[in-house]
Amino acid sequence: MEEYDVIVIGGGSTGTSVARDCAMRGFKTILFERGDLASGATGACAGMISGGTKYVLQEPEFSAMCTMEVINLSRIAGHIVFRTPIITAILTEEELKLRASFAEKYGALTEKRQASPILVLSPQEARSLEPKLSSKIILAAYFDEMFIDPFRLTVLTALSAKRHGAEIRTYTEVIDILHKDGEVYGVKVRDRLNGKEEEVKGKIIVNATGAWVPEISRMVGVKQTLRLNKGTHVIFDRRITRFGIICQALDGRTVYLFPHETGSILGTTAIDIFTSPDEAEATYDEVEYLISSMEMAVPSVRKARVVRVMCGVRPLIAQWWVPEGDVTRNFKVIDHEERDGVKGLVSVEGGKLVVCRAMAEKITDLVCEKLGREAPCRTHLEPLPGADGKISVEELASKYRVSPQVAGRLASRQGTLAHAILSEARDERDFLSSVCLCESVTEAELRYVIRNEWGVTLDALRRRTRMGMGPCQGFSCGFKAMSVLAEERGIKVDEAFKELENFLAERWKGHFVILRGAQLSEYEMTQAAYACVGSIDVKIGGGDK
Amino acid sequence: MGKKEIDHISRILAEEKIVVFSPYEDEIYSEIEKCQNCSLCLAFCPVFEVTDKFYPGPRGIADELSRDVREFWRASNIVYMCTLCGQCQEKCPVNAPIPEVVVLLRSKIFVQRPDLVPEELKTLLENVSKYGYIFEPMSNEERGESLKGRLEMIGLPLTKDPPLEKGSKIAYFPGCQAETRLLDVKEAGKLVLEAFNVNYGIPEGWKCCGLPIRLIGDSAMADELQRGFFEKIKELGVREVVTTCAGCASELRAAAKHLGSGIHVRHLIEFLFEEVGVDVISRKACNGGNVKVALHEPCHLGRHVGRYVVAYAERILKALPNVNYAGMKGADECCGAGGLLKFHDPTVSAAIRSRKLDVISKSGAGLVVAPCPLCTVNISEGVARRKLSVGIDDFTVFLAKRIYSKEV
Amino acid sequence: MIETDVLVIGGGVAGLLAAAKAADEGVEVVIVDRGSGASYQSSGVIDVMGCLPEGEITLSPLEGVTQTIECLPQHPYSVISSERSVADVIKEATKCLLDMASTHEVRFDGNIEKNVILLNTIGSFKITCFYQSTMSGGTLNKLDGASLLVVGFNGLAGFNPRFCASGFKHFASKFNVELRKADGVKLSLPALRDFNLTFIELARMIDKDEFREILAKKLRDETVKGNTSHIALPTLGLRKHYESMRILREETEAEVFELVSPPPSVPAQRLMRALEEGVAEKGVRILRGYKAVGFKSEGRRVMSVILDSGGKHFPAKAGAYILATGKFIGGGLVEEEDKVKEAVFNLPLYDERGKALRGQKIPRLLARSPFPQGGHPLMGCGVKVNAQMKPVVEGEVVYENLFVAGSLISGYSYVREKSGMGVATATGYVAGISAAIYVG
Ligand SMILES: Cc1cc2nc3c(=O)[nH]c(=O)nc-3n(C[C@H](O)[C@H](O)[C@H](O)COP(=O)(O)OP(=O)(O)OC[C@H]3O[C@@H](n4cnc5c(N)ncnc54)[C@H](O)[C@@H]3O)c2cc1C
Ligand SMILES: Cc1cc2nc3c(=O)[nH]c(=O)nc-3n(C[C@H](O)[C@H](O)[C@H](O)COP(=O)(O)OP(=O)(O)OC[C@H]3O[C@@H](n4cnc5c(N)ncnc54)[C@H](O)[C@@H]3O)c2cc1C
Ligand code: SF4
Ligand code: SF4
Repeated sequence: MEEYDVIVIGGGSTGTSVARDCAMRGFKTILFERGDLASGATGACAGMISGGTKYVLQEPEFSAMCTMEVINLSRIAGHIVFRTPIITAILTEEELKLRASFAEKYGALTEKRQASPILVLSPQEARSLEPKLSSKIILAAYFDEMFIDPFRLTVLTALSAKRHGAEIRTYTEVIDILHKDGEVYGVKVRDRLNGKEEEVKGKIIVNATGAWVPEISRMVGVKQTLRLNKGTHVIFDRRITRFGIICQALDGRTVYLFPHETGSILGTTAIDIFTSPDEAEATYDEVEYLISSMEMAVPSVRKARVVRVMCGVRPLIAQWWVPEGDVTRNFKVIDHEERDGVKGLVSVEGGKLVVCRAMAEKITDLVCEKLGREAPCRTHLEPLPGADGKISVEELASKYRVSPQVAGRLASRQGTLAHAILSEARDERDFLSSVCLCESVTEAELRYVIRNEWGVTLDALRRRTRMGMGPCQGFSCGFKAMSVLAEERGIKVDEAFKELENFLAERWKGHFVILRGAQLSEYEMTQAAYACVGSIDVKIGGGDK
Repeated sequence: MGKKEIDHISRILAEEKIVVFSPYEDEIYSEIEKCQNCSLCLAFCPVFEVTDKFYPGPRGIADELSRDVREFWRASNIVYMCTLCGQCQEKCPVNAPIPEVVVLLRSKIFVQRPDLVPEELKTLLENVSKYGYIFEPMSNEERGESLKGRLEMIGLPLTKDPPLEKGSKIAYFPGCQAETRLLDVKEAGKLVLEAFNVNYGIPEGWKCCGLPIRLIGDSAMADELQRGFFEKIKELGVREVVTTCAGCASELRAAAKHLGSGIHVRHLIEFLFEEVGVDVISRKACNGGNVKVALHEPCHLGRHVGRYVVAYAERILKALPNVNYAGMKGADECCGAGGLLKFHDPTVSAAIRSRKLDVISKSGAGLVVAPCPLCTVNISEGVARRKLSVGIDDFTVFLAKRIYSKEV
Repeated sequence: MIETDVLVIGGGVAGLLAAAKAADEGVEVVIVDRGSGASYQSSGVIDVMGCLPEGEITLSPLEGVTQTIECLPQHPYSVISSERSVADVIKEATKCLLDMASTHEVRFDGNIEKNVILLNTIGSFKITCFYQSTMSGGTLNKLDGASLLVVGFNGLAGFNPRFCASGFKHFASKFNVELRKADGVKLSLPALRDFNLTFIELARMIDKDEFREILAKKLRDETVKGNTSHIALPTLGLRKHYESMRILREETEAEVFELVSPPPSVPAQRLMRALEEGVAEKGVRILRGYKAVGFKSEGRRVMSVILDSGGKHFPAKAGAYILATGKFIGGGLVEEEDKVKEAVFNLPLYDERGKALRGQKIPRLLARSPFPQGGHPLMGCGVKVNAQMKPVVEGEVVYENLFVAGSLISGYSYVREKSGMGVATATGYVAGISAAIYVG
């Protein structure tokens, strides 16, 4: 049996970054993710990659690290990083006092740091910039923050890892850790698509499973506690506001509404959970809490078209007796040899998306130390695939004779990889047909990610291309994508329909919690299309002709 | 906010290509998001039917092109092709306002990427700046002659333009087409108003209603023009506008609403039906011989202002003595002139007109009336080219003839 | 402004049938419609009852109806059968619909005694009762031993002939039908858009003689090559479908047929156009662009319905009113504060089992899986009616001169049953008669 230097468990932003760093430093690396890449907290997060103004005061050092990482991410993945101007809408006098003292302290710091300045706006000024703001706001403040697309970041990080020799195995769950005499030597995994189990040996195991870290540790009898905290987002079709909006929530916390890609994202809640993170679900109450809160600042949010709700679980460091917001966002790399006497096992607690690369650097440093190798970290220098140059949408469109819209959307997701994708359709112009119209995703792009980016399920195609992220949530493109996937991967018909059902069931989870306005018409349409025309729900009886 | 702050924000907005919408634009935009991506509209779009290969049809606009609010320019090769006929919107299960979004997209492209605005349309815009009208007016001489000829031919007298004054009740707005091309429409409009003793005047120095300007994308200029026009007539204490053009009626009416001007704008048909009544109209307009008449329903009247106006027109025609009203299947189909398509892509525009001509020839009518000078000119051209033996009249001219004709 | 004997609100299948029937009875009818609804989204075939209450397929529609109304006494099929046999009503009603369609070039096959299995453009199947005769060659019972060629087109988006071919083979075998062979092929025809081609464009192309000729030649080559007995096409055209079918059959000597498809469906557009022309021929006026937004009543009589056109409101007065505004697509049911509401008259709503909705929020009416065995309660919600199709609340008629038809009615879920057009037709028919009797 082959032996790996490093086995990484977890394919979120942290795990993939670790795999990339290890591979770049020359370790023979394999990563196991039980679902799709970024199917955990990473895929459920807002993608904000600044330190967060709040943490500038609370955790200045961590905040400085975040700032550094924004620069690094912009360097290595510029095409998926963007800036969002934000208006904080202040609705009450008390809030004003709080925010004012904060702004003062913050302002004092911006001089020294590279943080974006906070500008005070009168209600009129704020409303002229963002007419959707309520007339009831008493003051507003402007600042801006950087964001990244968490899906693409994770996939590109994995791709880069692969280019450096790492193996990435998605839909492969670690079901046991092989250990003997206080030392781990491998993992037992199960392929979730075909049920096959196997054992894989490795010297170091990095447990980067976020909220599931304790569950993995338990496999070697180590007790590890995190503060698991659920956060829910409501996703809207289209950009409701041009600016990101921040305001006070009904309970005095803070909520935000950020334009993101072609939609908007409203978040978030913070609820400590004590069951398995697998069971976390977004609820109607959370949705109502978020909408009722944001409605104070942006009244039209109530009428806007909700397309989905989703939740994720934050793997916070176990600090108690403080509200979630006051828990440190810093991370801890744990050497279980040191802490629990289990040799070869390393895990990570806490952290954020923004510092995933930095987390990986620390972890890989430790791996180097343990395996006795000296190699400098280069993950902040080398661009991720697709980020190695600029791309002109107009040129792309005319070169491959596609609409500027298709070219533009493709370039924004895939950067320079767009060329490789569109050239697949050179001889097969047919592949340029859009499978998902809302997001302008072509068949060529789907085929490309199936072949090159571990696009093994419809859900995986969605994460990589945004197919099915629009208002229909995959109900009008699901069956088209299914036939492409089946053809590419040689899947049999009944399995293909099963896959479609799984995909729709997964989408439905984020759908049925709240169906409003125009979504009801869409609901009837897709119900009927799949059930009346597609017979997806029909039981075939005795079989008489 | 000081200059430094404003500069900072503007820079970020420009970098991120963020375009701020007015509340009015936001309202439209939030309606389009109802699109269900069902593709039904494709079957009803005339442009989609006659163009090949690149026009994605209304669905493409509703679902795809309007989605990325930062990159509207990418829709430029599409949105100028739409005639704004509204046939998609009327059949759409959620009545997604595609024509309005097309106008919105055009206005954003105009600002974001003026280089992508079709050249032909820019020329029209220059006309407005130069002459106040979308077309270059004829010289006085030419105009006088043409007018005399036209009026003689149709047997209508030439009258002076009564100026709009304090105490006038109605501002009559003839529109560019009637002022610079189909001159008899304006004259007929005056004659009809006079026949029913309407206290009206023509506002001095009136200019283009703003519709073509808005269609080209210069919504700022359109707003300014319209605001100016409304202010001017309000100064005279006038609150009502009547026009004989379908395009002007729909545009001025929408503008009056979104600029909050409190002006009531109606097409002449609407005004006559509501204020004069069918009985009085039919008693006055009782001259002229037997004729089988069909009605062309301009998109801007039927679908933009409201179907009730063409229903009024139908009721009036049905009531006129010696007029045999022929229902025309396809009366409401676009004639191809809308959205300025005629100026920017005459081939496609003519292909749509050709469908309309089929409708007209099948109707068996001897005369088709259109309550819009633009449609009238466009259809007449087609009829002449195809050598059809059907007459085309502007509704107002037709009505004036029925009132003033010597024939009984 | 509008005065008529019967005012029908909604021009879907239910509204059209109601109007046709009322006009047949000799009264003046006007239909108002604000846009379109589910009828335009359907696949253009008439389901009567495809599944039993437990979700199992039934090949006998009438048997299915009998079993269903035993379980669901509030089912519209049950309600209309209080005076006459439900089978008779469905037969008469569907005959009325099919006659109207066939005089306008949309002919149907099938009969009320038997369901058939059709193949669809997704690669699976659909169960239905009456189907357009362009689809007849491809009912599953005729495909045993067939050598089937599924024909796609380069550029046509959303249709994968190769996948469909393997899908058809798979699903056919589940019904014990053995396809000897099923292949998929994509034809390359330069006259077509090379990508993002839509079904409607393809249909229009097939309507054209020149294109059809080229297509026929290509198809002949393919049939010879593959020894094909049956050819499945995604569409046979929008207006000249019979001609195309005939020519292609002659040319290829194979059974050429059309598949059913999810929206956008060309056969549905054909059907709706035919029905609209059919009712117009009966003297019914269809007014587009008018939306019913309210009403005036005195006691238990509706005095007028308020119509909106371009933001202006007009009263429409009639002796009787038929409400056929559909469900969510049609706009008959809307959401307000997360609850369902009937949009025009604010009629009280009931669920599939006849229980009144008491302000449940919509998520409470949904199951946790998208296509649950028993369906979503939400799809069974609507207005409760009596045998004349008058809306009732707690057994009392709400308005004497108001009748309801189509998917706005509660007591059934067409999504689960596969009974959409059947119920729309039957209830429209009964509402049409009732309204005519009421005014006449
Ligand atoms: C609502 C919300 C909003 C957030 N917003 C932001 C933000 O704006 N900015 C920011 O920087 N951070 C944000 N975060 C935090 C951020 O998302 C997380 O800290 C970060 O994504 C964690 O990444 P991870 O890779 O450690 O965990 P995860 O993404 O959860 O990855 C762990 C992976 O391990 C896999 N796994 C679990 N068990 C096994 C097993 N047995 N075998 C194989 N694989 C397994 C899981 O499937 C999962 O994919 C937010 C978090 C939440 C919940
Ligand atoms: C995707 C899909 C596929 C289907 N396939 C099939 C199939 O193959 N076979 C089958 O039998 N059934 C099928 N069905 C079901 C079937 O289409 C419906 O059950 C049936 O069409 C309902 O008809 P209806 O007339 O009640 O409603 P609708 O067709 O929805 O008509 C309602 C009409 O009322 C109008 N309206 C609503 N409110 C107002 C108002 N206030 N003022 C004026 N007008 C108004 C709407 O514009 C609309 O035209 C399908 C449904 C869908 C969605
Ligand atoms: S605009 Fe309307 S008709 Fe067109 S795809 Fe969207 S919902 Fe359907
Ligand atoms: S307004 Fe007319 S031309 Fe424009 S997209 Fe709609 S149907 Fe087509």
